[in-house]
Amino acid sequence: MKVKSVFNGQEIEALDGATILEVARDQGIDIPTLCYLESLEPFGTCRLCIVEVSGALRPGIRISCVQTVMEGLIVETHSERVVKNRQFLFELLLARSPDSKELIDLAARHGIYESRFYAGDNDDNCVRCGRCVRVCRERIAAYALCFAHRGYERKVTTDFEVLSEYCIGCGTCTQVCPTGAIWMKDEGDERTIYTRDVVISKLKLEKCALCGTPYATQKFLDFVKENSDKAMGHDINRDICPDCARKMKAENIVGLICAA
Amino acid sequence: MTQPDIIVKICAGLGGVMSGSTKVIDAFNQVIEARKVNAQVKTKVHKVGCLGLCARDVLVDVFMNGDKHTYQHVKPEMVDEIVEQHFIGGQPVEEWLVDEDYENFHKFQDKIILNDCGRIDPESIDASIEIGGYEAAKKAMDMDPQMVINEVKKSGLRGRGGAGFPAGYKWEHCRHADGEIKYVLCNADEGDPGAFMDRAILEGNPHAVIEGMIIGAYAIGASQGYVYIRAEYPLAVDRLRLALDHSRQRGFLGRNIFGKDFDFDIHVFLGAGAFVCGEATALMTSIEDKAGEPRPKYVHTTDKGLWGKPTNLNNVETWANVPSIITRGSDWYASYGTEESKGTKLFSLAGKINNTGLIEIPMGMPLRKIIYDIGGGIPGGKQFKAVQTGGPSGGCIPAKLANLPVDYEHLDEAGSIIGSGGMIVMDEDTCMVDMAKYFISFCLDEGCGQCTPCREGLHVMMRILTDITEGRGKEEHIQQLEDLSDIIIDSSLCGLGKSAPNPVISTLRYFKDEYLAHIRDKHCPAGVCRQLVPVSCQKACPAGIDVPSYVALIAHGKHEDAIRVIRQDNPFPWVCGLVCPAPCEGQCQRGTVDKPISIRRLKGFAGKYTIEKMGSYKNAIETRRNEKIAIIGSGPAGLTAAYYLAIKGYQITVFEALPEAGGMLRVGISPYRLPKNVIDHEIENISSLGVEIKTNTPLGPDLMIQDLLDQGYKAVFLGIGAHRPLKLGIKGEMAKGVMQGVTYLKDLNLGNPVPDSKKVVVIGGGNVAVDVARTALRKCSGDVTILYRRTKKEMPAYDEEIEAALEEGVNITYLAAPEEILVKNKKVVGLRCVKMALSDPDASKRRRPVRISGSEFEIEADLVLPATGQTPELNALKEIKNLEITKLGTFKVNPMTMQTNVECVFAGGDAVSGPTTVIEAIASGKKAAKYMDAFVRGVEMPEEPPAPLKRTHVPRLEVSEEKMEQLERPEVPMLPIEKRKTTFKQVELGFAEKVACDEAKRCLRCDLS
Repeated sequence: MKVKSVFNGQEIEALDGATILEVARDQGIDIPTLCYLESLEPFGTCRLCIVEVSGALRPGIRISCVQTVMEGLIVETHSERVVKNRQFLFELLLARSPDSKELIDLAARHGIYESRFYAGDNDDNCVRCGRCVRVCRERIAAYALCFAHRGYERKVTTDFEVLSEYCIGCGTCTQVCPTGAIWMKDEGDERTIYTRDVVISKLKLEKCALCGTPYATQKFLDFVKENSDKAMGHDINRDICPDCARKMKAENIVGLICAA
Repeated sequence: MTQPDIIVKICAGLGGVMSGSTKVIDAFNQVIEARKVNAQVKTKVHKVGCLGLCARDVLVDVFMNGDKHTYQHVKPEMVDEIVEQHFIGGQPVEEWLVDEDYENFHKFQDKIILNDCGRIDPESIDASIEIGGYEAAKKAMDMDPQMVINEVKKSGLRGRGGAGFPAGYKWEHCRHADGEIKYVLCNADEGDPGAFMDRAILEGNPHAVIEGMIIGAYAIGASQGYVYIRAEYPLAVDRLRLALDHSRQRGFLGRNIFGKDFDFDIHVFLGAGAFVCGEATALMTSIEDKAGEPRPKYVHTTDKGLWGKPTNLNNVETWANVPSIITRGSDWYASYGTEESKGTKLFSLAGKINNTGLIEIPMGMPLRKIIYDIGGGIPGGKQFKAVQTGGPSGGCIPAKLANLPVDYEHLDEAGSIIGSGGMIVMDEDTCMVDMAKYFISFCLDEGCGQCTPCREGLHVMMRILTDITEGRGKEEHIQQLEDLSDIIIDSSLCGLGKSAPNPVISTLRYFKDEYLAHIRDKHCPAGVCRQLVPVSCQKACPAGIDVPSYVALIAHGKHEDAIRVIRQDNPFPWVCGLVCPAPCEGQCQRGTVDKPISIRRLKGFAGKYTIEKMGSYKNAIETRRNEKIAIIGSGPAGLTAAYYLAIKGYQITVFEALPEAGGMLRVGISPYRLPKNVIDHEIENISSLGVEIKTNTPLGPDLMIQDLLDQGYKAVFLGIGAHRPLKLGIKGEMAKGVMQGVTYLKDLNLGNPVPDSKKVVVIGGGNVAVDVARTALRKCSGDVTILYRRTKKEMPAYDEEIEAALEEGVNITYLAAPEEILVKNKKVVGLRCVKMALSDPDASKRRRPVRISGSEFEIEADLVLPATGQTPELNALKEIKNLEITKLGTFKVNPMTMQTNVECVFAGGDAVSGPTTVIEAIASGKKAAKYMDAFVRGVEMPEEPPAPLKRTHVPRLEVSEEKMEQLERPEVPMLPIEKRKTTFKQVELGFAEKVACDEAKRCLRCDLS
């Protein structure tokens, strides 16, 4: 079912149940986000995606990643009030994470080049968007990461802040982090994952059956096996690294072409 | 069961228990048993819930022969006498009964919920049933659920947790929400500082809450309920659990309640102490065994709440109201309160209030009535300043809004909320900035940290507020606080963030001047912010110089900045660095460890350093004004007034009688203490502001005050000093060789010839006397003796000066007074003296010298220099009629403003106080300048701050503990003794820069800790 709503003065038809953010992005309206990730449940904590609504809803500020469109909804994505709020939010985030290149770029894209605030000496690159924690739970179901402490002290860490026994070393958290605050390093046959400069996981890498390069952790390979069994009824693992897999695939294709 | 003759009810709420009510209950039981009271009259001792006035706990109500008596502050050892005298003897123990105002505390309250609280034993379901407990539940279950909801809607009951949402509508929404399984929850996570309403209800009458929830569950169609209660309420938890057990045993909870097709049970869930779990969605995630954090969803919890099911959450007090509404009807309930806010509300009165305790009042009662009639006013006769309602989410209501009716609408309008009912009363000693900071820090600690505005925004606000309270505040901080408040309210995820800035917004709204005092004046008017409250050295200074700041600046090597700080209160740093008695050093805390900081010499060093390096101090005139002001006398008082008025932009002319400017600085102090170039430099710094100094222009026929006023001078400052010496009043005073000490100094300082002598006798014990003696020692070929009536201990001259005089060879004869100056050929030849003894201390604790008869003796002398005091020269002022003069011959002024009874004439310095110190003169000149400015501009006289102002904020210089201990108060280099005796060169040579910096590092910085 489609509903009609008004975005920045323009009437737009969209699927009922779609979020304001999804509709806006379809329309090419740039709303900044940090905690939003399509593949995850909306979290609504960075608050950058705020918009002003009226009409079908009580006038006020809403976050567009959670609020769905509805018939007769009026949405302002860049009203004076929204822009002011967003500017302060960017400045507050920049005060906490002054060295995050990704954040600086995002802020600059929205016209904010510096912060008038200073948060103190305990700055870091983490914007507490929780993408890493959520992807680890919602998608990988490893539950290796969590938030600890309250208020300003809140941070991403592992249970009891020790090396995680649940981490499978997949590295998805490092892929979804918008600011590079959580990252990993492969050295020899060992993978190390860090939040800021704290090591949260250290795991041994298994070697590729073909080229002998260490490429994935055993726990991750088990995870792939379990899920591929579930999804496809057989194990897709062949104990080879992505490079070799690609090469093999290519050779197969070449073989096919040659045979033809 | 026969009714007992005597019923004793003892408060067993938490307040009572904490004050020892358990022991009091035991004591009553024991004594009644031991005295066999039960054999004579039947006595029953009850424990009951909160009796309200926690400040008077342990409270004991005694019901006997139809009379009720209440004892306060009962202790176990008092029980014996109460039983003996009251129970057996029939006479209450009057002295332990509550005061009259106890009646007032209850008289103005209307109790619906608290009515049974304090009447019944909270641990007995029978006690509850006896007074009608569970009748409402039974009645409700004979009604259609929608009827029950309609009744609640009609009553106008609104959520007592804070938001004030109409309860009936919430129930209705939940009833009509889709879903088989529904929940009713009770929010007992009472976390506001200073709030204890919910606790008191659960401790005093838990069955009312249970019954309310049963009725709600029936109306909504819920089969499960939870009470989310904080684990820090063990007594409330115990009583609630006990009550639930009892209720289940009686079949009020469980299956087929009252024989109807309705099942319902209640579980107790202990909160782990997170304030944010009082927020609806956080509370629910917490019950779901997840981290108690609010959810971002825009879905009503009545549609999707606990475990995604329709859930109705109300607070303890809301539930406790329900049974009365059902039993007595919505019309009855709605008869309490105002149009929009129905019923009564519980408040916990806390803070600076006489009657701390729990109250229940109808909505709409004026705040004044709560504070004064029920609360009994502010303790210690202090001023009521404001009240914080609604805890950290609320705002403050200032005293000027005391007539405000307390209901949802009016509080909202005033920028606060009712909230759960915390009421923290603040008096004049509360700093509103500090208060706002406290609540922000509370929310910062207690917020979950999920969303950016609350997590980062409150942190930045906290930093700004800390800067303001610690002296680093800037004007732009106010705007930043306002903006941050706006965006945190606008864009936070949950109610905690959306309301956290309220204390800042409301204090900025009502107490902005206090913020500005912190920011501009570096002054905390309430004296709370320690770094903005003067420390002992600053308080000791008559001119209130910000000592710790300038000492710290010297430690940092910023000597010119130190001068800038000093000159905000004293335009003569170098002069005072040489001649000030330095009362600050007497109060220096370092002095309690080893020796006080050499504050005076540090000031002198900074002055000398700046002048020698820069040539002058930097002066800045604030504005330009055209008004002319006349200053009579160029002593420290007059020039100080001139300086501060010149900075304010006035056109200043100083009239000086003597050929050189400086007053007593110039002529009353010997140059070996205060060299002429020092005076010249500092006067130059004042005259460079455009201050015209006319020397050789005494008051008299050529210069009349009236003429000045006619010439357009808007105000006149009389700083004429005290130059007229007091006579000794003995025979021979007119002889040749007798010369007043001050005249001797004046002549010498002005370069006039002074007589030589073989034998000098100085009479007196003050600084002038010692100065005269030391000067004579340098000038004359003979020896010098000071004659003083009392002992060394009583000498008013500074110890340092006396020691220096003795060291240089001045003789001092104590306990001797002159009786006659012996004269031969009209010339002095000696003195006839008498020995004195000190009397026992008189009423003023002073020991008077008493003449010892027969102890007369004669001493030789050819120059006698009396220095026993001076008084202002008033002859020239006869022209101003009515100018009030004191008995001591000084000008009479209003000490607050330095204004004389002639409106446009102000006065200060020795001419007002009699001979005193330079720093006192400076202080009076500075004060006069401030009020003359107000007078000339025709504005209201500014109020003098209660304490001297902090002028700046200087961070602590890290000095190792080791070094701190090693450093010692340095000796100041002195001119060699042989040179001192014969020359007028400066004796004290002052600190080198390194020595000064090190000495400044010794400062403990009491202003920071």
